Amino acid sequence: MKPKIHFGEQLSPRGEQVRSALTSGPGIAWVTVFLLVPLLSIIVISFMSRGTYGDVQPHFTLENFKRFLGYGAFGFDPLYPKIILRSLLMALGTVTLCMMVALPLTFFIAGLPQRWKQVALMLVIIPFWTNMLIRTYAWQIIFSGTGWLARAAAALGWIAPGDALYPSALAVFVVLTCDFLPVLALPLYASVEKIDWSIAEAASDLGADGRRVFWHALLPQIKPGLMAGAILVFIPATGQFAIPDLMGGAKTVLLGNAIQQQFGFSRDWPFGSAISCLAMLIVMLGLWVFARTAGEEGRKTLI
Amino acid sequence: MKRPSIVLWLNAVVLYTFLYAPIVVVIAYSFNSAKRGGPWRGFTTEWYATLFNSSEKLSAVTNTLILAVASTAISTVLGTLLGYGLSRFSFPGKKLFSWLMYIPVVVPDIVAAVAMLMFCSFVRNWTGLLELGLTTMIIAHVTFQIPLIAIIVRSRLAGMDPAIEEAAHDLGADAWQKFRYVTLPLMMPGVLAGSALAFTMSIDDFVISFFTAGPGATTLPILIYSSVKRGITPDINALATLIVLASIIGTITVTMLQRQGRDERKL
Amino acid sequence: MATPVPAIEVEKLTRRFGEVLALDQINLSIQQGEFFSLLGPSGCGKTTLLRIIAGLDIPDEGKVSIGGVDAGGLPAHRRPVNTVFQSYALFPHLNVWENVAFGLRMKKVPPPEIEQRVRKVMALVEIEPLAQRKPNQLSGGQKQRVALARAIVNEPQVLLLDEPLGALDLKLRKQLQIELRSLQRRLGITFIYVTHDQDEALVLSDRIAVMRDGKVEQLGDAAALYEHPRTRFVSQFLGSCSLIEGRVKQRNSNSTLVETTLGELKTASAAPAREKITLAIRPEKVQLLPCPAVAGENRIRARIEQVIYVGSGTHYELRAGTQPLRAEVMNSHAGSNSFQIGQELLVCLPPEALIVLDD
Repeated sequence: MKPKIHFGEQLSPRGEQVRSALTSGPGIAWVTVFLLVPLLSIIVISFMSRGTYGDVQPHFTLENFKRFLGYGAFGFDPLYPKIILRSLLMALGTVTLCMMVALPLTFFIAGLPQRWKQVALMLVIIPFWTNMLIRTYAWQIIFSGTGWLARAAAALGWIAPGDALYPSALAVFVVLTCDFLPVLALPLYASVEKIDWSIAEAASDLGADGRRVFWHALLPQIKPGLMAGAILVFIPATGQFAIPDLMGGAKTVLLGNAIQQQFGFSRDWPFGSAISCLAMLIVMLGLWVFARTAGEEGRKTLI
Repeated sequence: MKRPSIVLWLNAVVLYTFLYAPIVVVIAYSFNSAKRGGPWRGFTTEWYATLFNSSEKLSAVTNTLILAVASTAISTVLGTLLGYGLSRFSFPGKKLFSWLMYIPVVVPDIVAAVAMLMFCSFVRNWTGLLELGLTTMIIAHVTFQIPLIAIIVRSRLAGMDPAIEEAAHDLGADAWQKFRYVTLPLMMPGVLAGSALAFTMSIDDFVISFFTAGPGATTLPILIYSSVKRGITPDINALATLIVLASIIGTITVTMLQRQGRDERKL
Repeated sequence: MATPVPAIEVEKLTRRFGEVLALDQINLSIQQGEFFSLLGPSGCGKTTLLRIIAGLDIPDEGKVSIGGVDAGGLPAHRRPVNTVFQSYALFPHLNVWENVAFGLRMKKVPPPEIEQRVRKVMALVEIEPLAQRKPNQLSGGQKQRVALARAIVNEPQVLLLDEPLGALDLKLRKQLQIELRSLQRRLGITFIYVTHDQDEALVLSDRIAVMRDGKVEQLGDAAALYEHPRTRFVSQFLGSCSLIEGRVKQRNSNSTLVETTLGELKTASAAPAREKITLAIRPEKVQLLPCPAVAGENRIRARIEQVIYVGSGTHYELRAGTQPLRAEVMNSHAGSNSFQIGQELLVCLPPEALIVLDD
């Protein structure tokens, strides 16, 4: 092969390979060894079985996958199917609610005068960069039995007086939404800010009502940002373990908690690996839907 | 566009309340003299004093900083090289490895964390290396930071006019001189942005650290988590308040610097 | 006296991009001190040729010699040529002074000499007051001057310019054209100038190579190309021409009689050995005769379809039967615009103005 010229520099194929090895080599090796190999081994281990002392036995088995489909050693048990379903609903619910409230919020910010726009946007960015664990545990204080939210709920007869509003599925849902709202709102805002309003004006001049203007003239323009935000919320929400752990307790176990249990006190790595594989599969499905709907523009927004 | 309507205002007020309620509550309760949380019992700065006298908390701060500085230093070098290599040279399988960069974005961090936990444990069983602790945490953080920095550096390089580097050669620079005096200074903003982001991620990270930490290596997020599991104490609120203030100051500073940079470029 | 070594000698240069033949067996010899232009539409291969000379691209076949030395093995940074890029490609992180000094610094020229040479060149292109500015604080014209200074400070044997004025507005472009030309005369450096702007090429160049589809279509000085285009492409690309198809009726030693739809036309040049030929005529050579004129040699009847007043002159779109014709008349006298749309008149196509094309 003949040499080629690359950004002004003449390189033989061999020279280019040497440069690649010197520049890309170490980084690729690191990520391959410490991320790719471990992730692939998760798939392998999910087909192995657990030894008596929590070690991994290299016996091929489908037991782990059967187990979270509900067919464990003791007949049908809906525990894991329920966890899967609950996680999916929780993640999708979070994405949906975040979208529904972030849309009006971003339009609100975009409609403010320039000065206040910066402030309002900054007020979304600050929580984005504030530790999620702190923002999560603070809700324990807000939802505590002595807090006025719990007392209001007790007065309405929803809970017993003195009880806290957590742990509960609702608490998990509220906190998930609150914590992830900036994650969705920021890429969405980037799209909303770029909206070409003349298209909307043209549509309403042509007689479209408010709803149709939104669906046909505005939504297509903000779709990339909306979808990028959605996938950025969906992925971590699917694997979330700190929020359900702190706000949901034993009753609201999600996939993340199930994984943690298997790697924590249960020490059943093959089963934990199988659940991890499932979590990855769900995320892949989400990404597939994203790739189908968001298109090239959305992918760029995401990256 | 039109001025925001009442509905938009209402929605915004509710959302900002929800976003800031936890932050305000944490700050307020760090000054509450009540020992076990609960209603307001009066103002005190006692918990801050407790905090600064707790060796456990101070060592968590030290660990967090060591972890962030060490991992950012390693990943900045490797990530910058990788970003440069991926954008400038092609090699067999490059496309495949480019996809590798997106694993940290698309895999839930808990999955990656347990994968690395098992990996470390297997390696330890075979070789005796990789005892869980600060080292394994640094390795894990670097693994996540390399792709991040590489992506940012690569996109910075992709946005550059190729003629600039050609001009360097045309004016007599050899390959090294071109890299040293043209390409490197031009990708520096990307490198700095990438490592700042990597540093923040490392400080902020809980899940990866939680699974790859050994018994002795507690970081701030891990400390907060385990304290909260035992029950919120006022000194944790004090600690959280300091972290929140640091984040707010950091965010505002970075945003101001960015805006300044934009204005300069406009000139 | 021995013939001087050409500044650039290009032999059988071929470059393919996939299926596209960007350069097809190009041969060129460019003299020392010449202002040479490569003119052609985008995609004709002119920029590729320039990049190969600069060492920024490698030909698939053929040879480039710079000052009589085969440049085949020389990487860009060792070639005694410098380039002014279309996008200027100034180093955005360096100020104007550092940009201009870049090449000398890379070659490890002693600092006092750098200082002196940079100052001299910056004075030459009148950018001394900008020394401390960054490229993003410069206007387009200023960037252009910096790019030029950055290249000529290295005292190259050949300066390559890739549409350097392309991004500037017309007025600035005209002014810089004049400056470029006088700069080149003063420095005595060979300039190779790539452009798609025919006016620019005509104004600046000693010689022009008109390129099309990777080949040199015609090579010559401005007058030769304008007065004697050899192909339809050259006649249309450099200025405009009305084309008239016809058949050779009678060949004489220094004239030809051609049968066309406009009747018999006489040209003052010899025709190629084909029967079907194409005649071309420049619009300013078409003479419009007021009505009382009588029919005669090369006089045809035509009708005015369009009148375009452009200030210094008036353009007429004419039609003689089915044949469209263009005429341009200088408005040298006040009120000389005496023809109206729809008017029938006689048009004279002087025999010496009718060019016989090769294709």
